[in-house]
Amino acid sequence: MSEFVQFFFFLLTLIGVGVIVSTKNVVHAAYALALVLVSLAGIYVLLNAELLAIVQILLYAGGVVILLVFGVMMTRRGSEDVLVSESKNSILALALSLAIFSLLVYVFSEATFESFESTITSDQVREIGVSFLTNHIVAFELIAFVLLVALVGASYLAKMSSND
Amino acid sequence: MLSLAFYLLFLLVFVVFAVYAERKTAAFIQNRLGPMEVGPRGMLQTVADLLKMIQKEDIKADAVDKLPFLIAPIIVFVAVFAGFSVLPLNAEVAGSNVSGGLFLMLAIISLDVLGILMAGWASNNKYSLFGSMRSVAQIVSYEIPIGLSVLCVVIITGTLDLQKTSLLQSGRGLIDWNIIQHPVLIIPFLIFFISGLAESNRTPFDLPESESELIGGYHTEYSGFRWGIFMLSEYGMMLLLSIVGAILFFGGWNSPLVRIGSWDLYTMTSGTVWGTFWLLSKALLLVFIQMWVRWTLPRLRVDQLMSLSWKYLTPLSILMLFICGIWKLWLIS
Repeated sequence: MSEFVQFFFFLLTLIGVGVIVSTKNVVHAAYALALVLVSLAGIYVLLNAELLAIVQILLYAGGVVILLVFGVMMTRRGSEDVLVSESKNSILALALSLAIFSLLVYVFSEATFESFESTITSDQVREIGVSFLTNHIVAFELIAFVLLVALVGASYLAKMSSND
Repeated sequence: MLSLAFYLLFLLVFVVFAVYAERKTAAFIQNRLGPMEVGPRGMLQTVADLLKMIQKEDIKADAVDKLPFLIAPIIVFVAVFAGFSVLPLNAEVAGSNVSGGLFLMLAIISLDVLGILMAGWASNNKYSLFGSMRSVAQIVSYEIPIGLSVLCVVIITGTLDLQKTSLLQSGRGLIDWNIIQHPVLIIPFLIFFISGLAESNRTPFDLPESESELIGGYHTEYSGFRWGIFMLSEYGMMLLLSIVGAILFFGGWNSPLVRIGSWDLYTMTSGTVWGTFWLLSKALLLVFIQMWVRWTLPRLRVDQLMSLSWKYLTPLSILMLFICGIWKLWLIS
Protein backbone atom coordinates (compact mmCIF):
# COMPACT_ATOMS: atom_id res chain seq x y z
CA MET A 1 0.00 0.00 0.00
CA SER A 2 2.71 2.43 1.03
CA GLU A 3 4.67 1.68 -2.14
CA PHE A 4 1.62 2.28 -4.25
CA VAL A 5 1.02 5.66 -2.58
CA GLN A 6 4.67 6.54 -2.99
CA PHE A 7 4.52 5.63 -6.67
CA PHE A 8 1.42 7.78 -7.04
CA PHE A 9 3.20 10.82 -5.59
CA PHE A 10 6.28 10.21 -7.76
CA LEU A 11 4.01 10.06 -10.79
CA LEU A 12 2.26 13.29 -9.81
CA THR A 13 5.62 15.01 -9.30
CA LEU A 14 6.83 13.84 -12.70
CA ILE A 15 3.62 14.99 -14.40
CA GLY A 16 3.96 18.38 -12.74
CA VAL A 17 7.58 18.74 -13.74
CA GLY A 18 6.74 17.69 -17.29
CA VAL A 19 4.05 20.35 -17.50
CA ILE A 20 6.38 23.03 -16.13
CA VAL A 21 9.00 22.27 -18.75
CA SER A 22 6.70 21.78 -21.72
CA THR A 23 4.02 24.43 -21.29
CA LYS A 24 4.43 27.93 -22.68
CA ASN A 25 1.71 29.40 -20.53
CA VAL A 26 3.36 30.91 -17.47
CA VAL A 27 0.26 30.59 -15.29
CA HIS A 28 -0.12 26.90 -16.11
CA ALA A 29 3.54 26.39 -15.21
CA ALA A 30 2.87 27.98 -11.81
CA TYR A 31 -0.11 25.67 -11.18
CA ALA A 32 2.04 22.69 -12.11
CA LEU A 33 4.67 23.95 -9.67
CA ALA A 34 2.03 23.87 -6.94
CA LEU A 35 1.24 20.27 -7.90
CA VAL A 36 4.93 19.34 -7.69
CA LEU A 37 5.32 20.96 -4.27
CA VAL A 38 2.22 19.31 -2.83
CA SER A 39 3.23 15.88 -4.15
CA LEU A 40 6.69 16.36 -2.65
CA ALA A 41 4.95 17.08 0.65
CA GLY A 42 3.17 13.75 0.23
CA ILE A 43 6.52 12.01 -0.23
CA TYR A 44 7.82 13.73 2.91
CA VAL A 45 4.88 12.34 4.87
CA LEU A 46 5.68 8.84 3.63
CA LEU A 47 9.26 9.37 4.82
CA ASN A 48 7.91 10.29 8.27
CA ALA A 49 8.91 13.94 7.97
CA GLU A 50 5.54 15.22 9.04
CA LEU A 51 6.48 18.73 10.08
CA LEU A 52 8.55 19.26 6.94
CA ALA A 53 5.53 18.28 4.83
CA ILE A 54 3.30 20.75 6.66
CA VAL A 55 5.84 23.54 6.30
CA GLN A 56 6.24 22.66 2.63
CA ILE A 57 2.50 23.05 2.04
CA LEU A 58 2.22 26.22 4.11
CA LEU A 59 5.26 28.05 2.78
CA TYR A 60 5.80 26.77 -0.73
CA ALA A 61 2.42 25.70 -2.06
CA GLY A 62 0.41 28.16 0.03
CA GLY A 63 2.84 31.06 -0.02
CA VAL A 64 5.48 31.10 -2.71
CA VAL A 65 3.37 29.72 -5.57
CA ILE A 66 0.46 31.99 -4.74
CA LEU A 67 2.68 35.07 -4.66
CA LEU A 68 4.22 33.88 -7.92
CA VAL A 69 0.84 33.56 -9.64
CA PHE A 70 -0.20 36.86 -8.13
CA GLY A 71 2.93 38.51 -9.47
CA VAL A 72 2.34 37.06 -12.93
CA MET A 73 -1.22 38.36 -12.93
CA MET A 74 -0.24 41.83 -11.73
CA THR A 75 2.38 42.21 -14.44
CA ARG A 76 0.04 41.15 -17.24
CA ARG A 77 0.42 43.59 -20.08
CA GLY A 78 -2.86 44.89 -21.45
CA SER A 79 -2.94 43.65 -25.02
CA GLU A 80 -1.86 40.07 -24.49
CA ASP A 81 -4.50 37.44 -23.99
CA VAL A 82 -2.32 34.68 -22.65
CA LEU A 83 1.04 35.03 -21.02
CA VAL A 84 3.45 33.07 -23.14
CA SER A 85 7.07 32.42 -22.36
CA GLU A 86 9.43 32.12 -25.24
CA SER A 87 12.05 29.45 -25.37
CA LYS A 88 15.33 30.30 -27.01
CA ASN A 89 18.56 28.31 -27.30
CA SER A 90 16.72 25.07 -26.66
CA ILE A 91 19.68 22.94 -27.82
CA LEU A 92 22.07 24.69 -25.45
CA ALA A 93 19.53 24.38 -22.62
CA LEU A 94 19.06 20.68 -23.30
CA ALA A 95 22.83 20.11 -23.33
CA LEU A 96 23.27 22.02 -20.06
CA SER A 97 20.45 20.20 -18.31
CA LEU A 98 21.76 16.84 -19.49
CA ALA A 99 25.20 17.79 -18.18
CA ILE A 100 23.82 18.76 -14.76
CA PHE A 101 21.65 15.64 -14.69
CA SER A 102 24.55 13.32 -15.45
CA LEU A 103 26.70 15.11 -12.88
CA LEU A 104 24.01 14.58 -10.25
CA VAL A 105 23.57 10.92 -11.19
CA TYR A 106 27.36 10.45 -10.97
CA VAL A 107 27.58 12.13 -7.56
CA PHE A 108 24.69 10.16 -6.13
CA SER A 109 25.97 6.85 -7.44
CA GLU A 110 29.46 7.49 -6.04
CA ALA A 111 28.40 8.88 -2.69
CA THR A 112 27.95 6.57 0.26
CA PHE A 113 25.04 7.54 2.42
CA GLU A 114 25.26 6.70 6.07
CA SER A 115 22.28 4.65 7.01
CA PHE A 116 20.98 5.79 10.32
CA GLU A 117 18.35 4.50 12.63
CA SER A 118 15.38 6.79 12.28
CA THR A 119 14.43 8.12 15.67
CA ILE A 120 10.85 8.99 15.03
CA THR A 121 8.83 10.14 17.95
CA SER A 122 5.20 10.95 18.08
CA ASP A 123 5.74 14.61 18.83
CA GLN A 124 8.06 15.90 16.13
CA VAL A 125 6.99 19.50 16.51
CA ARG A 126 8.09 19.62 20.15
CA GLU A 127 11.43 17.93 19.44
CA ILE A 128 12.26 20.22 16.55
CA GLY A 129 11.26 23.23 18.63
CA VAL A 130 13.44 22.16 21.53
CA SER A 131 16.42 21.52 19.29
CA PHE A 132 15.94 24.93 17.64
CA LEU A 133 16.21 26.65 20.99
CA THR A 134 19.07 24.54 22.37
CA ASN A 135 21.53 22.98 19.93
CA HIS A 136 20.77 25.20 16.96
CA ILE A 137 20.09 28.48 18.69
CA VAL A 138 22.68 30.43 16.65
CA ALA A 139 21.25 29.29 13.34
CA PHE A 140 17.76 30.03 14.59
CA GLU A 141 18.64 33.55 15.68
CA LEU A 142 20.53 34.12 12.44
CA ILE A 143 17.46 33.16 10.39
CA ALA A 144 15.33 35.45 12.51
CA PHE A 145 17.79 38.28 11.87
CA VAL A 146 17.86 37.66 8.10
CA LEU A 147 14.05 37.65 8.01
CA LEU A 148 13.96 40.90 9.97
CA VAL A 149 16.37 42.51 7.50
CA ALA A 150 14.22 41.26 4.61
CA LEU A 151 11.09 42.72 6.24
CA VAL A 152 12.70 46.09 6.85
CA GLY A 153 14.04 46.11 3.31
CA ALA A 154 10.65 45.25 1.84
CA SER A 155 8.86 47.99 3.73
CA TYR A 156 11.59 50.48 2.77
CA LEU A 157 11.21 49.58 -0.92
CA ALA A 158 7.43 49.85 -0.68
CA LYS A 159 7.72 53.26 0.97
CA MET A 160 10.15 54.46 -1.69
CA SER A 161 7.90 53.51 -4.58
CA SER A 162 4.87 55.17 -3.01
CA ASN A 163 6.79 58.45 -2.71
CA ASP A 164 7.35 58.71 -6.46
CA MET B 1 -11.66 8.25 8.96
CA LEU B 2 -14.89 7.97 10.94
CA SER B 3 -14.86 11.63 11.91
CA LEU B 4 -14.16 12.68 8.32
CA ALA B 5 -17.05 10.62 6.95
CA PHE B 6 -19.32 12.11 9.58
CA TYR B 7 -18.17 15.64 8.77
CA LEU B 8 -18.77 15.13 5.04
CA LEU B 9 -22.38 14.12 5.62
CA PHE B 10 -22.85 16.78 8.26
CA LEU B 11 -21.42 19.45 5.98
CA LEU B 12 -23.85 18.59 3.18
CA VAL B 13 -26.85 18.72 5.52
CA PHE B 14 -25.43 21.80 7.26
CA VAL B 15 -25.17 23.77 4.02
CA VAL B 16 -28.81 23.16 3.14
CA PHE B 17 -29.98 24.43 6.52
CA ALA B 18 -27.33 27.13 6.86
CA VAL B 19 -28.47 28.81 3.65
CA TYR B 20 -32.04 28.74 4.96
CA ALA B 21 -30.89 30.02 8.36
CA GLU B 22 -28.87 32.74 6.71
CA ARG B 23 -31.87 33.96 4.71
CA LYS B 24 -34.13 33.81 7.74
CA THR B 25 -31.58 35.67 9.89
CA ALA B 26 -31.23 38.32 7.20
CA ALA B 27 -35.00 38.60 6.97
CA PHE B 28 -35.35 38.95 10.73
CA ILE B 29 -32.66 41.62 10.92
CA GLN B 30 -34.16 43.53 7.99
CA ASN B 31 -37.68 43.14 9.38
CA ARG B 32 -38.94 40.91 6.55
CA LEU B 33 -40.29 37.36 6.48
CA GLY B 34 -37.76 35.68 4.20
CA PRO B 35 -38.59 32.48 2.31
CA MET B 36 -42.12 31.39 3.21
CA GLU B 37 -43.53 29.50 0.21
CA VAL B 38 -41.86 26.08 -0.06
CA GLY B 39 -42.65 23.78 2.84
CA PRO B 40 -43.62 24.90 6.36
CA ARG B 41 -42.31 28.44 6.86
CA GLY B 42 -40.19 28.00 3.72
CA MET B 43 -37.99 25.31 5.21
CA LEU B 44 -37.66 23.42 1.94
CA GLN B 45 -36.67 26.51 -0.06
CA THR B 46 -32.98 25.53 -0.14
CA VAL B 47 -33.83 21.99 -1.21
CA ALA B 48 -35.80 23.41 -4.13
CA ASP B 49 -32.93 25.77 -4.98
CA LEU B 50 -30.51 22.87 -4.83
CA LEU B 51 -32.65 20.75 -7.16
CA LYS B 52 -32.81 23.63 -9.60
CA MET B 53 -29.06 24.16 -9.37
CA ILE B 54 -27.99 20.59 -10.10
CA GLN B 55 -30.23 20.45 -13.15
CA LYS B 56 -28.55 23.46 -14.76
CA GLU B 57 -26.29 23.14 -17.76
CA ASP B 58 -22.56 23.12 -16.98
CA ILE B 59 -21.76 26.31 -18.89
CA LYS B 60 -18.23 27.20 -19.84
CA ALA B 61 -17.59 30.15 -22.11
CA ASP B 62 -15.40 29.79 -25.20
CA ALA B 63 -12.66 32.05 -23.92
CA VAL B 64 -12.09 30.32 -20.60
CA ASP B 65 -8.92 28.42 -19.82
CA LYS B 66 -10.63 25.01 -19.87
CA LEU B 67 -8.85 22.69 -17.45
CA PRO B 68 -8.12 25.23 -14.68
CA PHE B 69 -11.68 26.55 -15.03
CA LEU B 70 -13.11 23.10 -14.47
CA ILE B 71 -10.91 21.98 -11.58
CA ALA B 72 -10.77 25.28 -9.65
CA PRO B 73 -13.98 24.69 -7.62
CA ILE B 74 -12.81 21.18 -6.79
CA ILE B 75 -9.46 22.47 -5.51
CA VAL B 76 -11.22 25.02 -3.30
CA PHE B 77 -13.54 22.40 -1.83
CA VAL B 78 -10.81 19.79 -1.34
CA ALA B 79 -8.60 22.34 0.42
CA VAL B 80 -11.37 23.35 2.81
CA PHE B 81 -12.61 19.83 3.41
CA ALA B 82 -9.12 18.44 4.04
CA GLY B 83 -9.00 20.83 6.99
CA PHE B 84 -11.76 18.78 8.64
CA SER B 85 -9.49 15.72 8.76
CA VAL B 86 -7.75 16.79 11.98
CA LEU B 87 -10.89 17.73 13.90
CA PRO B 88 -12.04 15.47 16.72
CA LEU B 89 -15.72 14.66 17.02
CA ASN B 90 -16.06 13.55 20.63
CA ALA B 91 -14.03 11.92 23.39
CA GLU B 92 -13.81 8.60 21.51
CA VAL B 93 -13.52 9.71 17.90
CA ALA B 94 -10.39 11.78 17.28
CA GLY B 95 -9.32 13.19 13.95
CA SER B 96 -6.26 12.23 11.96
CA ASN B 97 -3.34 11.36 14.24
CA VAL B 98 -0.94 14.14 13.25
CA SER B 99 1.26 15.69 15.91
CA GLY B 100 1.03 19.08 14.22
CA GLY B 101 -2.71 18.79 13.56
CA LEU B 102 -3.65 22.43 14.00
CA PHE B 103 -0.66 23.56 11.96
CA LEU B 104 -1.60 21.11 9.20
CA MET B 105 -5.13 22.46 9.14
CA LEU B 106 -3.94 26.06 8.76
CA ALA B 107 -1.54 24.97 6.01
CA ILE B 108 -4.12 23.04 4.02
CA ILE B 109 -6.89 25.60 4.15
CA SER B 110 -4.45 28.22 2.88
CA LEU B 111 -4.39 26.23 -0.38
CA ASP B 112 -7.94 27.28 -1.23
CA VAL B 113 -6.45 30.59 -2.39
CA LEU B 114 -4.88 28.67 -5.25
CA GLY B 115 -8.28 27.44 -6.42
CA ILE B 116 -9.74 30.92 -6.13
CA LEU B 117 -6.88 32.39 -8.16
CA MET B 118 -7.31 29.63 -10.73
CA ALA B 119 -11.03 30.36 -10.99
CA GLY B 120 -10.50 34.09 -11.37
CA TRP B 121 -7.75 33.83 -13.93
CA ALA B 122 -9.28 31.01 -15.97
CA SER B 123 -12.63 32.80 -16.24
CA ASN B 124 -10.96 35.39 -18.48
CA ASN B 125 -13.20 38.08 -17.07
CA LYS B 126 -12.02 41.26 -15.40
CA TYR B 127 -14.52 41.05 -12.54
CA SER B 128 -13.42 37.52 -11.75
CA LEU B 129 -9.77 38.53 -11.90
CA PHE B 130 -10.30 41.50 -9.58
CA GLY B 131 -12.24 39.29 -7.21
CA SER B 132 -9.57 36.65 -7.05
CA MET B 133 -6.79 39.22 -6.61
CA ARG B 134 -8.63 40.81 -3.73
CA SER B 135 -9.18 37.39 -2.29
CA VAL B 136 -5.50 36.51 -2.37
CA ALA B 137 -4.44 39.80 -0.84
CA GLN B 138 -7.05 39.34 1.87
CA ILE B 139 -6.49 35.70 2.73
CA VAL B 140 -2.70 35.97 2.70
CA SER B 141 -2.88 39.02 4.99
CA TYR B 142 -5.35 37.54 7.46
CA GLU B 143 -3.52 34.24 7.71
CA ILE B 144 -0.94 36.03 9.87
CA PRO B 145 -3.27 37.23 12.65
CA ILE B 146 -5.25 33.95 12.57
CA GLY B 147 -2.04 31.94 12.87
CA LEU B 148 -0.73 34.09 15.71
CA SER B 149 -4.00 34.01 17.63
CA VAL B 150 -4.10 30.21 17.35
CA LEU B 151 -0.50 30.19 18.54
CA CYS B 152 -1.56 32.02 21.72
CA VAL B 153 -3.74 29.03 22.60
CA VAL B 154 -0.97 26.63 21.62
CA ILE B 155 1.44 28.39 24.00
CA ILE B 156 -0.98 27.95 26.88
CA THR B 157 -2.11 24.38 26.17
CA GLY B 158 1.28 23.23 24.90
CA THR B 159 -0.11 21.02 22.14
CA LEU B 160 -1.05 21.27 18.48
CA ASP B 161 -3.31 18.25 18.70
CA LEU B 162 -6.96 19.32 18.81
CA GLN B 163 -8.04 16.19 20.66
CA LYS B 164 -5.51 16.89 23.42
CA THR B 165 -6.66 20.51 23.55
CA SER B 166 -10.20 19.25 24.15
CA LEU B 167 -9.07 16.73 26.76
CA LEU B 168 -7.23 19.46 28.67
CA GLN B 169 -10.49 21.34 29.02
CA SER B 170 -12.58 18.48 30.35
CA GLY B 171 -13.54 17.61 33.90
CA ARG B 172 -15.69 20.29 35.44
CA GLY B 173 -17.73 21.83 32.64
CA LEU B 174 -17.75 25.53 31.85
CA ILE B 175 -15.04 26.53 34.32
CA ASP B 176 -12.46 24.35 32.58
CA TRP B 177 -12.77 26.07 29.23
CA ASN B 178 -9.64 27.80 27.99
CA ILE B 179 -11.32 31.17 27.72
CA ILE B 180 -12.49 31.00 31.38
CA GLN B 181 -9.33 29.39 32.79
CA HIS B 182 -7.15 31.83 30.89
CA PRO B 183 -9.04 35.11 30.42
CA VAL B 184 -6.00 36.44 28.58
CA LEU B 185 -7.33 34.45 25.59
CA ILE B 186 -10.36 36.69 25.10
CA ILE B 187 -8.50 39.06 22.78
CA PRO B 188 -6.92 36.22 20.75
CA PHE B 189 -10.42 34.79 20.32
CA LEU B 190 -11.69 38.11 18.93
CA ILE B 191 -8.71 38.26 16.56
CA PHE B 192 -9.38 34.65 15.54
CA PHE B 193 -13.04 35.37 14.90
CA ILE B 194 -12.43 38.54 12.87
CA SER B 195 -9.70 36.90 10.79
CA GLY B 196 -11.91 33.86 10.35
CA LEU B 197 -14.57 36.06 8.80
CA ALA B 198 -11.95 37.36 6.40
CA GLU B 199 -10.61 33.88 5.64
CA SER B 200 -14.04 32.62 4.65
CA ASN B 201 -14.76 35.74 2.58
CA ARG B 202 -17.73 36.75 4.67
CA THR B 203 -19.13 40.26 5.09
CA PRO B 204 -17.70 42.67 6.26
CA PHE B 205 -14.75 41.17 4.38
CA ASP B 206 -16.56 39.90 1.30
CA LEU B 207 -14.65 42.12 -1.12
CA PRO B 208 -13.60 39.16 -3.31
CA GLU B 209 -17.19 38.45 -4.19
CA SER B 210 -18.91 41.76 -3.48
CA GLU B 211 -22.08 41.46 -5.50
CA SER B 212 -22.66 45.15 -6.01
CA GLU B 213 -19.25 45.93 -7.51
CA LEU B 214 -17.89 42.68 -8.87
CA ILE B 215 -21.12 40.76 -9.55
CA GLY B 216 -19.86 37.82 -7.51
CA GLY B 217 -16.11 38.21 -7.98
CA TYR B 218 -14.19 35.08 -8.77
CA HIS B 219 -17.29 32.97 -9.37
CA THR B 220 -18.98 35.38 -11.79
CA GLU B 221 -18.55 32.98 -14.72
CA TYR B 222 -19.63 29.89 -12.82
CA SER B 223 -23.14 28.49 -12.77
CA GLY B 224 -24.97 25.37 -11.74
CA PHE B 225 -23.14 22.68 -9.88
CA ARG B 226 -19.66 24.22 -10.00
CA TRP B 227 -21.00 27.44 -8.49
CA GLY B 228 -22.64 25.25 -5.88
CA ILE B 229 -19.27 23.77 -4.97
CA PHE B 230 -17.92 27.29 -4.32
CA MET B 231 -20.86 28.01 -2.02
CA LEU B 232 -20.37 24.65 -0.30
CA SER B 233 -16.72 25.53 0.32
CA GLU B 234 -17.60 28.94 1.73
CA TYR B 235 -20.06 27.45 4.21
CA GLY B 236 -17.59 24.64 4.87
CA MET B 237 -14.94 27.20 5.79
CA MET B 238 -17.37 28.94 8.15
CA LEU B 239 -18.16 25.64 9.84
CA LEU B 240 -14.52 24.57 9.99
CA LEU B 241 -13.33 27.78 11.63
CA SER B 242 -16.28 27.73 14.02
CA ILE B 243 -15.49 24.17 15.11
CA VAL B 244 -11.82 25.06 15.56
CA GLY B 245 -12.83 28.16 17.54
CA ALA B 246 -15.12 26.04 19.73
CA ILE B 247 -12.33 23.52 20.36
CA LEU B 248 -9.61 26.07 21.05
CA PHE B 249 -11.51 28.49 23.24
CA PHE B 250 -14.83 26.96 24.34
CA GLY B 251 -14.01 23.48 25.52
CA GLY B 252 -14.57 21.45 22.36
CA TRP B 253 -16.86 18.49 22.98
CA ASN B 254 -17.04 19.07 26.74
CA SER B 255 -20.36 19.79 28.34
CA PRO B 256 -20.73 23.37 29.61
CA LEU B 257 -22.88 22.29 32.57
CA VAL B 258 -21.26 22.30 35.98
CA ARG B 259 -21.84 20.23 39.08
CA ILE B 260 -24.30 21.87 41.43
CA GLY B 261 -24.24 20.27 44.86
CA SER B 262 -25.11 16.62 44.44
CA TRP B 263 -26.45 17.18 40.92
CA ASP B 264 -23.58 16.14 38.70
CA LEU B 265 -24.94 17.70 35.54
CA TYR B 266 -21.54 17.47 33.88
CA THR B 267 -21.35 13.67 34.01
CA MET B 268 -25.01 13.40 33.09
CA THR B 269 -24.40 15.31 29.88
CA SER B 270 -21.12 13.70 28.84
CA GLY B 271 -20.63 10.80 26.49
CA THR B 272 -20.24 10.02 22.83
CA VAL B 273 -23.51 11.44 21.56
CA TRP B 274 -23.52 14.31 24.02
CA GLY B 275 -19.92 15.19 23.06
CA THR B 276 -20.83 15.44 19.40
CA PHE B 277 -23.91 17.43 20.32
CA TRP B 278 -21.97 19.97 22.40
CA LEU B 279 -19.20 20.42 19.84
CA LEU B 280 -21.61 20.98 16.97
CA SER B 281 -23.90 23.23 19.05
CA LYS B 282 -21.02 25.47 20.01
CA ALA B 283 -19.85 25.58 16.39
CA LEU B 284 -23.33 26.36 15.09
CA LEU B 285 -23.68 29.15 17.63
CA LEU B 286 -20.46 30.68 16.26
CA VAL B 287 -21.81 30.22 12.71
CA PHE B 288 -24.93 32.10 13.78
CA ILE B 289 -22.77 34.97 15.08
CA GLN B 290 -21.01 35.05 11.71
CA MET B 291 -24.39 35.41 9.98
CA TRP B 292 -25.48 38.05 12.46
CA VAL B 293 -22.32 40.07 11.75
CA ARG B 294 -22.88 39.70 8.02
CA TRP B 295 -26.28 41.32 8.12
CA THR B 296 -25.27 44.02 10.59
CA LEU B 297 -22.03 45.52 9.33
CA PRO B 298 -21.30 47.15 5.97
CA ARG B 299 -18.45 46.01 3.75
CA LEU B 300 -14.98 47.45 4.30
CA ARG B 301 -12.98 49.25 1.61
CA VAL B 302 -9.82 47.55 0.32
CA ASP B 303 -7.49 49.96 2.12
CA GLN B 304 -9.46 49.68 5.37
CA LEU B 305 -9.26 45.90 5.07
CA MET B 306 -5.49 45.98 4.66
CA SER B 307 -4.91 48.48 7.44
CA LEU B 308 -7.13 46.48 9.79
CA SER B 309 -5.01 43.41 9.18
CA TRP B 310 -1.52 44.92 9.07
CA LYS B 311 -1.82 47.92 11.40
CA TYR B 312 -4.18 46.61 14.07
CA LEU B 313 -4.70 42.85 14.14
CA THR B 314 -1.14 41.71 13.40
CA PRO B 315 0.62 43.96 15.97
CA LEU B 316 -2.10 43.21 18.51
CA SER B 317 -1.74 39.47 18.00
CA ILE B 318 2.04 39.68 18.36
CA LEU B 319 1.51 41.59 21.61
CA MET B 320 -0.98 38.95 22.77
CA LEU B 321 1.53 36.24 21.93
CA PHE B 322 4.00 37.98 24.25
CA ILE B 323 1.40 38.38 27.01
CA CYS B 324 0.34 34.74 26.70
CA GLY B 325 3.99 33.74 27.05
CA ILE B 326 4.24 35.72 30.28
CA TRP B 327 0.93 34.24 31.46
CA LYS B 328 2.18 30.73 30.82
CA LEU B 329 5.62 31.27 32.34
CA TRP B 330 4.85 33.16 35.53
CA LEU B 331 1.18 33.46 36.24
CA ILE B 332 -0.17 29.92 35.99
CA SER B 333 2.74 27.68 36.84
